Amino acid sequence: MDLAARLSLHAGTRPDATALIEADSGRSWSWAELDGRITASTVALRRAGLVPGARVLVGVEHRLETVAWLLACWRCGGVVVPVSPGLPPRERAFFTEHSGAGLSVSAAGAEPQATGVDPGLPSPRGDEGRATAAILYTSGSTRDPKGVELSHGALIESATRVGRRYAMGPGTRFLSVLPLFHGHGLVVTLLAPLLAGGAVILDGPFDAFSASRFWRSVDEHGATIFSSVPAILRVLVALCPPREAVPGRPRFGLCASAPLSPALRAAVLERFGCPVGNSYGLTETAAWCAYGDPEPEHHRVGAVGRPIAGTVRILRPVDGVGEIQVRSPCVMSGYFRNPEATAGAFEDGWLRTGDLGRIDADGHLFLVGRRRDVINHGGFSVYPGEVDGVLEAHPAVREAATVERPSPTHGEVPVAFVALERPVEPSALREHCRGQLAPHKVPVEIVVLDALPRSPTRKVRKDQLRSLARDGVR
Amino acid sequence: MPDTRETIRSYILDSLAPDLPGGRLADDTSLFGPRGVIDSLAIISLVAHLDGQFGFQVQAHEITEQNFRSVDALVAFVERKLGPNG
Repeated sequence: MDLAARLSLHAGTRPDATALIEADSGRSWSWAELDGRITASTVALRRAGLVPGARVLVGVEHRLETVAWLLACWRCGGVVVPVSPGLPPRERAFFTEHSGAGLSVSAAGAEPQATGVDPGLPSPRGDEGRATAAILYTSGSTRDPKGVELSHGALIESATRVGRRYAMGPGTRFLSVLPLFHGHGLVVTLLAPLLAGGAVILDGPFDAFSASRFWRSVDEHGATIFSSVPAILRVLVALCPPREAVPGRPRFGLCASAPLSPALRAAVLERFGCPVGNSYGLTETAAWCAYGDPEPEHHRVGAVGRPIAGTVRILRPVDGVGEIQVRSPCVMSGYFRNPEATAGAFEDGWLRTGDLGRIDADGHLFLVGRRRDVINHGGFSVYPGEVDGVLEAHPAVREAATVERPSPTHGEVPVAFVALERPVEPSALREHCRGQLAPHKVPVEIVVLDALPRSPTRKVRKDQLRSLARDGVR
Repeated sequence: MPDTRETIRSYILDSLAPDLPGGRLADDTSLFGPRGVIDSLAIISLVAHLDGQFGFQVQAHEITEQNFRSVDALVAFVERKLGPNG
């Protein structure tokens, strides 16, 4: 059974129960209303030529209509490619071309639009569970395209596991504030509560200007649970006044996509009376593979949750620490149109996360190292190679290397170092980046050096650049 | 009391958008949003700076695009906060 069919079951059994609430407008849809909109959208997609296996670019917003489009695509057997509606044209063109999405839809549009891209052949169709449901891009890089192909089975299983772990059901009201084009937002904050028969309060994506609305949404719409990234929790703690805990509203919060410090977890508990569980996962695992423990009796300081037995292993451990590898029905089918990267991502059928960790005697997972060369900017991944490529495309730049700088607000921020062919202001280079990269990928600072430091084997000494980024250029 | 406009401008240029030449930060330049020069989550640092410099406390409901959209808007906001009804 595919995702759309699974969700339609609720329309049959509880047609009048609320499925979706749009926080800013106050609009809501019952399961029956949602089902009716899915049917209408399905007709529009089929009329536009959507066939099973064909990709559809979906500009996802926290709108009722977005959810109807997603589910309609799945009802037609289409493959959803969720993207930010505010994507720069260069990245949007790349996602469209790479995925071969011949149609695009948006919350504001009543009809699918042709993208002008030749869709080519549909994705190979397996049985219903193995058929591809979504391609989630982990990077906008044209050097290293990574379209994570997730099947209906993977999304259903992952969302079901999240729902089961956090006891979601018809009484659940999930406050969804994370971007829905990421695995965390899509699977944890949308699909998990819907599959469990709960309602989703669409109120995002979160930014500093919506911070004052967060607890109001919780109270007005009776949110029982939310999920976040550490950057969101930092903003809430910094900007929102203390709140008297209301039993069950929310029962607890969840947090993932970046390590949650014990101090921040404690601050959220003290200020808002809300326990938070820190989970761990990758886009490649259709969101989470270790489930954070908000309950005090299960919580372990520094842990990133507990995996389901047998789904995570620590490979070749030294003093208990080794690479975290995952094998479960939630793991991706592969990287779309990238067999080389797919082959490199697995070892004996286990997904290589590239992260280093250990598991204690009680089954709690601890991260001790990070995937190499990915900057975690407030929960958003920045691939240095992509930023370097954009900078090096500027005629004044000879070479570029981007590294992370620790940030009290964002966890990490990207800082780029460049060596020049001819003089140019760093501000002009940032402007150049802004035109081609999503905002979170634009370096917060661009530093001009005479030459990038290199090792005897000519590799860029990123360790030295990290020191410069942290301490400043003397 | 430091000059409000200059205090805000120099904090943004020194700490939040360090490679932006001074001339580029006009008083009506968009600070936030898709074409802004500052990421909205960095607003925590800006709020802490305003609190420390001007001796008031910015409330969560005051953190709006209207109050924070530009140097001009920030100056007006600070002056309202420092005024008799602030």
